[in-house]
Amino acid sequence: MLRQRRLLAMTLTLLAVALTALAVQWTRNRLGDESTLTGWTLLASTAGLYLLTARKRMIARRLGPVAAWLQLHMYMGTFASVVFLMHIGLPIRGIFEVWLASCFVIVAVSGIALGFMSRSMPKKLAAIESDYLLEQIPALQFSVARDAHQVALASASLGEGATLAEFYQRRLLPFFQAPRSLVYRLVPNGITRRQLLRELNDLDRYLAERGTESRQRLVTMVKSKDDLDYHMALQTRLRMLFVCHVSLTWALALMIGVHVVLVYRFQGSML
Amino acid sequence: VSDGELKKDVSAPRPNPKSAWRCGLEAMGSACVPGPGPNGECCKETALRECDSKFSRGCQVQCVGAKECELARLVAPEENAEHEQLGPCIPVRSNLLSRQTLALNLAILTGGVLLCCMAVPQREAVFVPGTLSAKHSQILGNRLVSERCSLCHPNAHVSSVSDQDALCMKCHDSHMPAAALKSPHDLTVEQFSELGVTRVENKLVAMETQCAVCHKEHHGNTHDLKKISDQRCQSCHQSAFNSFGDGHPEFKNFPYQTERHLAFDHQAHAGKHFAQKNETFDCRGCHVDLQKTGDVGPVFRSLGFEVACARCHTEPMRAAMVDGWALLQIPSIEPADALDGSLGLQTWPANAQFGYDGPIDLPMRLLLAADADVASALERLPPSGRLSEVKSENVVEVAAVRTLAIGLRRLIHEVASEGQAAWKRRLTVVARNALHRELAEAEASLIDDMVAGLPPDLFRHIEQQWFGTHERLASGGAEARSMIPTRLVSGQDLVGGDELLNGGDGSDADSLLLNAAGSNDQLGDDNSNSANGDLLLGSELSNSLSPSAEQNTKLTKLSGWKHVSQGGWYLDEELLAVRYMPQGHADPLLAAWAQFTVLIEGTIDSHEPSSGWHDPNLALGKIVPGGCTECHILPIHSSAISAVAAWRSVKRPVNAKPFTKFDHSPHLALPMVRDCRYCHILNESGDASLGAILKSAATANRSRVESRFVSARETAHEFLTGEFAGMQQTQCNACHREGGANDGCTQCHNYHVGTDGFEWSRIQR
Repeated sequence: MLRQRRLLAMTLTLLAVALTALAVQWTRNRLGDESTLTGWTLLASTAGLYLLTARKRMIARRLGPVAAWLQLHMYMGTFASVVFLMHIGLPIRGIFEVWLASCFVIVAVSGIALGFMSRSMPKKLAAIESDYLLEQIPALQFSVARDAHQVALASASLGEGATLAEFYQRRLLPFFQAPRSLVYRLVPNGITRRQLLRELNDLDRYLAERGTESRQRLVTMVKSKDDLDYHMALQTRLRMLFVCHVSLTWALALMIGVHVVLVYRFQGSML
Repeated sequence: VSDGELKKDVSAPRPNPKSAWRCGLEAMGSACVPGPGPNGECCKETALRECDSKFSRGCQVQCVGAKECELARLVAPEENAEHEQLGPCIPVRSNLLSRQTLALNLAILTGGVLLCCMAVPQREAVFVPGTLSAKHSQILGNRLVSERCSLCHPNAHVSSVSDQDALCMKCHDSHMPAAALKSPHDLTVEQFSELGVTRVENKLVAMETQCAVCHKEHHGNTHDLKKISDQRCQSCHQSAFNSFGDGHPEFKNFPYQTERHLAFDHQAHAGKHFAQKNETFDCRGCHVDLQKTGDVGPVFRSLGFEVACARCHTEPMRAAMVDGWALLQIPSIEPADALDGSLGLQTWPANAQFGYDGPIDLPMRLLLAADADVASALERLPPSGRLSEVKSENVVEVAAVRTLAIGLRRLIHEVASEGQAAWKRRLTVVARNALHRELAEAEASLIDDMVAGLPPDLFRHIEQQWFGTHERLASGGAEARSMIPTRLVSGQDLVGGDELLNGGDGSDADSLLLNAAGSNDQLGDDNSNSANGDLLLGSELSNSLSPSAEQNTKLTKLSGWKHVSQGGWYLDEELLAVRYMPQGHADPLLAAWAQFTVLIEGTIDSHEPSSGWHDPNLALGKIVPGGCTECHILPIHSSAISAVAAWRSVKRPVNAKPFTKFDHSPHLALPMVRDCRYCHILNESGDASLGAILKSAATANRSRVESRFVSARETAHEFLTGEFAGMQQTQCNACHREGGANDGCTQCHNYHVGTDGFEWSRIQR
């Protein structure tokens, strides 16, 4: 069902793109102004993208599920991006034109990335047992770090000596207390997790039974902390892209308006 | 969290995604469950207070009911002990509010920046959609920044709508005025019809095209505004071909369908004339001048007579014109005609009264044919046009000769009394009769050139000397007879008039000439003769009037090449002719006479051939002496007289941009095509030269009523058109192909043809 819906939506999008390309070609063949055609098409499709925002605000009326509107938004955004490429001439010249195009590109690229990530992220997050809200993750990270600290302190009083505590201080303390690196936040991976777990396992030869238990608890905490970090990285990345996508919405609308007025004022027609 | 295991609590109440604020303690794991109010205030007390109500308005957690108040449980002090320890609520902005705030701030920032940009004088630099092309930048470079845009876009500052193209044409009107039509190729509907565009295609013809459709400005300093994609051309030219190398229509004898005005036989020159002189036939010698640049680079149709032809053709031309051109010659009539008082020919020169003789050539025919009766008489003359063939017993022919003689006498008298006006009037009448309409400006100008420089004094001299003498001869007897200049017998000196009149052989010419020169009383009366130094006859005679020289000076016969070597009019006392000595090559008078003759002869098909002036023996190459028309193919239509200077090497007007263009310059630099014969291949098929073909064509058409000039022109054009093998597209495709040299439409074709280019192309066709 989902596949059929996507296939239908993609077919419709491609059909719209093909029709627009044919119209542009037809206009060009008749020495018409294809910029006007693509410009108004782009304006109309861009205005259609704002319908999602409007739909979110109109919760009292029955206008279909937001998810459907989101799908419409995604495919219309894809169509608008193609029309945008038809409309502009490369290289883009003029300071204002570069601003406008950059703004559109940022919104479009972030939107496309959001579309892909919204499809791929659930699978990645579902691979993790727990489900966390982004707002709750710092508290959970704090909690895990506190527990790990307590386990490490307790292990110092055991018969094995300070082996586990020393390892915690040297290797685990930065992992639990400090935020993950920028590289990890951009591209979350399990390298550190696997390395720490391997090193913890290597401590077994120095630990007695109680020490092994403590080591096992630390292993669990490392996994939990890494899962939290993974969640946080993915969700933050998604949220940042979303912020990037949404924050330029009104600036883009404003610049589009100025662009249309300028075009018609300087083209010889009045607007 | 217990022992590192995190519980997955999806049932726990989550913050409203549309709320603007959230609890700041959330990150510490002890969030206030109701969360902040809509304005960020702590909602705990409000939630408890309103717990009994159906909804806890304003808080993030809805109350599920008074009896089982989940909210009350959640905010009970015992359940939130930790929260109490942490202190008061710290509301922070929700993601939604943060995004909205950011978006609003960015929009305000963008609007502010745009407003600031609009306010500064350099706003054009911000809003211009790209720099102008180099040429427009140069024009606008010295303008104030604030004025630059409004020069081409006044609408941006005023409330009226103006035509953008009209602004373009303000500057471009001078070199392509027809572009204001906005039609395809700047042509009119009538011109398209002439090109054979069908009615269906006329839809495109009626289409108006804006300048900016093809010429995209603001694409940078290096952008070529004139660079037009093939797709633009193929908007209308939708023949199914992809590129120049793939499906382009074959050349149709390009470029040799162009009308040529010089009957230059390349084959004969290369294989015969140059070979005889053991010289190399090099195309560059006549066509390439690296010091000049023309329409097709340094290659010209001809570098001109002086450069290309004079070396071989000057001497033959001079030889052909050594005696000048007898435009008017008094024919000989029967003495009885002169004695017949009813004819009024008593004053006819005595030395032109020895029977019907003398040619009636074309110039004299044209001048005499203005008189209707003379025109009629001319038609009754023998076909050869020579009076010697008139038989005395043929009453019709004799009457015609007499009428002709009377007309000639009238002509001489008119010119002597009215001057050039009489000459001009007669030619105008003939031309008007032949063309059956009023003369065009070019034709009238042509007659002016034919008349220019004609000295009326010569005719006064004829009146007084040739005809007046006879009057005295008739009345004065022997004394007067001694004053008559006699005819010269070819190859002999002047002979005594008495002897000639008495039937002598003219052996003693010197004494008679002295007598003639001694008639100073007549010459003295003619002030203009003595005062006008360029009148050679008058000068000679004046000099001869010196009493001291009268006895000893021996005047020689006037020779055109010797006495009038720089050109001009003179009298042939021997043959009683008015002669003109051309000034060499490109003599304007000969050119005008030749063009006039061709023009008049060209009309012969359209009306009765018996027009009096028609000379059936006239050959195309012999219209005027010197063989002008052997090389120059003159237009037969009056409209072409002003359109193309047929006598000169064809040079395209500056503004004329035909449909097809070609520049030899870059090609001559390439080793492969440096040799002209790479493209211009002579056809080896024909053995006959152009001269032989024309001669046979003239012979074949002699008996026909139609103009020999028209058929000869066609023959010449046919020969010249087929002189070279038509160029093949593959010759161009060797370089102009995809991935090679430019093979775009505009590489060889102009778009802005306009009327000038159209006319040029039409003339070329």
